[in-house]
Amino acid sequence: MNTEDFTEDMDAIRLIFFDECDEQLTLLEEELTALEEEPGNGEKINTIFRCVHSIKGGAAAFGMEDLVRFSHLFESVLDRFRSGELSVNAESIKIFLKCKDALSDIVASFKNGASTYGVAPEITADLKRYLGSDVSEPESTSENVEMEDIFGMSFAPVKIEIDGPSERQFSIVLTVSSEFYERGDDVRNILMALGGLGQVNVQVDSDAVPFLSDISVCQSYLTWQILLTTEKSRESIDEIFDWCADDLRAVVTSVPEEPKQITVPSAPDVEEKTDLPVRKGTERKDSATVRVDIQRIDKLVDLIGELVINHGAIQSQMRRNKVPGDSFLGTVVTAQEQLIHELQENVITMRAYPIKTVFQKLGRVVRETARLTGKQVRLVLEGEDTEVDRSILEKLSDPLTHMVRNAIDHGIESPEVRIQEGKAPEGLLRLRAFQRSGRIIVEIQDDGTGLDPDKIYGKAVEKKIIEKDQKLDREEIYSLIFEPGFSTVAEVTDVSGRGVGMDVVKQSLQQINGRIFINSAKGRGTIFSISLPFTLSVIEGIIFKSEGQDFVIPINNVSETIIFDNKKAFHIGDGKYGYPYRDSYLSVIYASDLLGLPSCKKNQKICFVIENENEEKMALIVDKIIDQSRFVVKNLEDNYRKIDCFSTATILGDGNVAFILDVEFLFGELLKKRENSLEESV
Amino acid sequence: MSILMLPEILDTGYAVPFSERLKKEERDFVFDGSQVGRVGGLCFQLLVSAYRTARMQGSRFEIRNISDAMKENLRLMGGDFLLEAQGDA
Repeated sequence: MNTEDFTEDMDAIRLIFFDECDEQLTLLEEELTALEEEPGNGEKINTIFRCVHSIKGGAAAFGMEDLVRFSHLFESVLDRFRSGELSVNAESIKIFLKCKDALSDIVASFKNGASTYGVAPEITADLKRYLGSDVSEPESTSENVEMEDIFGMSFAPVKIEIDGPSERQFSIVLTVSSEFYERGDDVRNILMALGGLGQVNVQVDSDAVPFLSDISVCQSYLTWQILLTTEKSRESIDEIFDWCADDLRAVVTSVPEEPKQITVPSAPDVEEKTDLPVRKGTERKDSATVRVDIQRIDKLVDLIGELVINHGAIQSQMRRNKVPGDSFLGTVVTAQEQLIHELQENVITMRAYPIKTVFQKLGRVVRETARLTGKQVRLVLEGEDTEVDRSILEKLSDPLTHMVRNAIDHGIESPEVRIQEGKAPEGLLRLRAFQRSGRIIVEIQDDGTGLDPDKIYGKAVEKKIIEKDQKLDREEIYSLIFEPGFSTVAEVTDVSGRGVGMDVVKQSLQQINGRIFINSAKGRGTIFSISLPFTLSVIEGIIFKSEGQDFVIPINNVSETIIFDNKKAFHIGDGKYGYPYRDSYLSVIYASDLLGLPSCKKNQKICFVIENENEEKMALIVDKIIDQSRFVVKNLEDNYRKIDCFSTATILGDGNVAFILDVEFLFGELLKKRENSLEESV
Repeated sequence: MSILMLPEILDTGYAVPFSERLKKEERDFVFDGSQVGRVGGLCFQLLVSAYRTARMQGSRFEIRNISDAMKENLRLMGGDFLLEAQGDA
């Protein structure tokens, strides 16, 4: 390995460290939230302590002093709570949450390349109050003490109480793998932490270390034998190894009576000959996991997409050569199709993340917004384990953040108003995720003032979004809040109320094929329901032909398919047509006209009744339906360029490209045609 | 005989350049540890390897002007024998 490779590796390790920080911060937030419900739960405090401890350990390995300094201070305070010296209450949880936010900020800052970060003094002051006189040791500042402890520049002597009544000895045999260092950890941190528990006597077995000519730099050859004399419990020792993942092996045995010399067995011997508990890093509660670079998963998804296309090519050739479906080849190909389908679903699931990652971040948004608006808000999270494709999750965070802010700023009332209205002073904000009919539903519910249809209508008229006296039903009025520039609050606040938010929310959700619905009751609150696909990689659709070319329409936009009778279509004017449908009429769009194809309308025999997210319907007339299937989505902009009528494309079994229709765009075009007709008639 | 001036931080990031530097030493390993503030596990292992190499080839291994921090770090990792090699333990 040369220096350049090593630097690249270190950069990769650094990224892994930040990924782990994100995981620890998520867990930290989760446990802090749970602690609010159960302040007396000691296990929660232990987990919180370990999260902070893990971040500190990694940060020390990378020399991120400000992060180490703050996490050490935080950890010291947590230790007081863990030992039972202090009790958890609402105030302490509030401070812990602030500290968690500060930790997130420091981690983000270092991730973005900063080398220093100053935590707000009031946060450190809050923590130091818990430590009392311990932070003002003579002849050294508390911060110096902390850094000395951490970096071992001149760490404090260990307190030894010979013949102390509760003092015990432990023998620890420690080996680490090369991955231990690659992960950014260092055995020095472990030994220092053990030294913090009591008196340590360390011996190193270096017999396995090769001569310089043969040494592999990143491989670990050493075994340490540590004799630890401490008043602390066995659990305290185990906790030190908790943040070391699976690449550290520590065999801890209690030495019950007089200390004795213990020979250091080689690591394999230890594993084979002893029944003693072997602690392999963090033994997590959940099942074993492997960290895989997300780009590899993305590549796997792409490759399976290619496999699906390839399989389609085989089926296409079979049809062309009239191979019967019940032949041996036909049976094998059908079985293979099922396997590919399962493989595809499994790989897409691998790329799915629990929505928890987004929900947890919103906890902070809620706290900050509540603080800025002077409101009291209780956040309830439900269905955090609901999994969503990563590509969707990434784009969900911003719109949800905006909606949560809006719900607090405009929805939930101030405590005074709530009391006057007979409500609890604390407002409720519920975030809920669940699956329904193959889609993911995310709900943002508040028990605030609710939407006022009259107020929204009036504002929309005032803003010239709608005409005066325009007939709209309640849902249509609610949907006006998604119009650009709409705002019902007179005063622009620091939080929201600039009227530039909800239209952006809607656009962002449309980009991920999301739909949004509103249910509100005046004075009782509002529920925003967002419906999302599980993945953007595959689409269920109907492939059809128009003037000899293949196109795909997403199945969730197709309300019904009927035989088109050209004689029933009637001309409205200016090349526009209507078509009777049940007890009403639909505007007609001929696919050939829309797509700019030379039209021969006599071929057009199929009518798709399509609908948009507002449940508006129109008739799309095409030549014939070919099949209904799942299609692998290919991004047009990445492979060619944006084309207005089409959202994406797919590759068919015969190698041809079929464009996937952008139904919202079709409705937009229809609306434009209506407006143009109006202007012309005026 | 050349004296290898050790840097302030002998952590994982320095292990590869340190190894390359050590492999260039012809025979003796003489270090100046006056600036050292921190020694990590991998660099400690390289020092141990240099020590063993020197023992094997009958050459010199010596850490001069060792800083208190380096001394503490080596002791922490059980490397007292490295200190004894230059009579400073």
